[in-house]
Amino acid sequence: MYVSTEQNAHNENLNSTKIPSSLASLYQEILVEHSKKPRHKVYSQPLSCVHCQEGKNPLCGDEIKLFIELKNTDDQFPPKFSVSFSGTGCSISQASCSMLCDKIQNVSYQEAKKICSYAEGIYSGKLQCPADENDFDDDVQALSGVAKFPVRVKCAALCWKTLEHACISLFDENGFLKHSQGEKTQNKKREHFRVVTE
Amino acid sequence: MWRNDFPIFENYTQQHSSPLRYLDSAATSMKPNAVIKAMSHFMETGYGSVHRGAYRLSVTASEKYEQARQRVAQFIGPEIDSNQVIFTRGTTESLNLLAAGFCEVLLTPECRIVVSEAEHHSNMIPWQQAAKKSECEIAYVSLVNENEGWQLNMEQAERLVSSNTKVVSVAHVGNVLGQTNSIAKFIELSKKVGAFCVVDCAQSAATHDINFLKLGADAVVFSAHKLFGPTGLGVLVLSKKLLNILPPYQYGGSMVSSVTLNGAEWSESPTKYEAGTPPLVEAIGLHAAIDWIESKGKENLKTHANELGKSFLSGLKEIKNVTLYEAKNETGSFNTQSIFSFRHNQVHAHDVATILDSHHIAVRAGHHCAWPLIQKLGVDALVRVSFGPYCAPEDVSDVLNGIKNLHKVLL
Repeated sequence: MYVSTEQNAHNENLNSTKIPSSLASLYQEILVEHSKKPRHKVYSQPLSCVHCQEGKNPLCGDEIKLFIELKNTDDQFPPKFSVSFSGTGCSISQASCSMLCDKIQNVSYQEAKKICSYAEGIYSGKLQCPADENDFDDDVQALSGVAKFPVRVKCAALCWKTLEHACISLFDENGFLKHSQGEKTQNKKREHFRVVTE
Repeated sequence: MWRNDFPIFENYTQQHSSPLRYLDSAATSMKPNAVIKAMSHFMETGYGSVHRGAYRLSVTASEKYEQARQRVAQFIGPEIDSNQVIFTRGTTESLNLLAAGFCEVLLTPECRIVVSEAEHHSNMIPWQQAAKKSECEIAYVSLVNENEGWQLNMEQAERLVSSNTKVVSVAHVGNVLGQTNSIAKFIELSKKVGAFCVVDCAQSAATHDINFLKLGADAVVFSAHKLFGPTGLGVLVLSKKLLNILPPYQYGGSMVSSVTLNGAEWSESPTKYEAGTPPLVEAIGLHAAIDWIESKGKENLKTHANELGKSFLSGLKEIKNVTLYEAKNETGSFNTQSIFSFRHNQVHAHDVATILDSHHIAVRAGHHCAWPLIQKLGVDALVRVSFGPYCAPEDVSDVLNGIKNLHKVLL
């Protein structure tokens, strides 16, 4: 039989306005704000997009699409690009997409690689962030709480891994476009790929 | 009810200073003391090699393994012989064994397989693959929404189970919406055209009569771990007719009657289908789990789940911003038992699950291994709540409170 001594003290928590501290670190204000008002989210493919990359998290059902727009195609220098996104998913995946697009505006492949690596350090917990949200240098640091929720790391990781995959397809090691000029203007739909949580 | 039989609840409370509200029994069930002790006692006192040794430990281990098989046969129905009971790794392997077997000996390009679009992937993908390999057709019975209740379209099923249909495979109870499907009708349709009928009882074996072989089904499958038993063990019960038709699924030790360098001959069922060292300790655990279920009574387990389900449903319907995907049973009544899926219109299913977990409430979020069903409902993810015999009214009130207060975190 069920034992009434288990009458839970946490009933109070359920009804109170207090958010458990573990949750507060995950759903930081900046992150929630990004999820509610995602930046650079589009509802149709931008005409100037040269490359789009779909990312899917098969376990969650999260599906996103990143649109890469080249900002210059001068063959003398590696091109810069900006990213926008579409898709559906949980608050973490949507906020992470929004933060990515905020960061990946008019950057080169080399710069994007560094930003992706930095973001991975944040959401995986390998890079330490200031304890106080108010001290964050940039919004991506609001992903720091995700590391304590192993099953949610993949939600944050999806867009960053998707961008990495897109960049590898699009750019050579020096950051120049791999494809010929004729192909540059074609939108390329890539196959879904899986983001695996470590 | 019966919560004290399951030590994880007391241990969890001690470890986390909060009771566990475990509402994910449709994924896997908790284990009663009786199962845990039976398995550890056996490993401490009677463990040995099954069907391979002349020494006493091997003999008694073999006897225990076969007793477990006999117990499973009795659990399903008095007329079931133990050689009809095959131990597999789980429901998924049972269904794969069937699909692969039918593919090898039965299916041709002219044939049709009928499943429903509401199936768990384990009762869909093996048939899709069998259809691809044999270049035959696979037809899906639709899930339809009639008078606010989702159910399988049985009128369509009558049309789909055609004269060229060789296999019909359907779940007894749906793993997402919890509906009880019209298995008797599927069996009747199958028999009319001479098709084999497979019934996935993974979600029903603990609470329902699953002796569909008596009605003419050809195979019944389920998993021990959803039956308060251990993981790694599944059951496949074959009709006597099917025993002689299906080829082995895997090859190796135990399943042969003779081997030469030129080839091998197979032993009879059930060993024909059990290559390798069998899941002995797991079988002991399943035996104990069945004893536990029958000591409480399936009807009592069902009534308990039904009471909690009704209470949960009535509370959930009062909460704003929640869409409940209600299902109808074969009788036309709404499902009120065990398994329910819903979505919050403003908080994504995964966020719901994480927020509830912070209150020690365990629910499932996602597509529940039923993508086509989720796509049919037009959503990307659902929250599922499912009840077990260890659930209490407090579990219901806590999860309802948790859902009511989701907005405090994210909205």
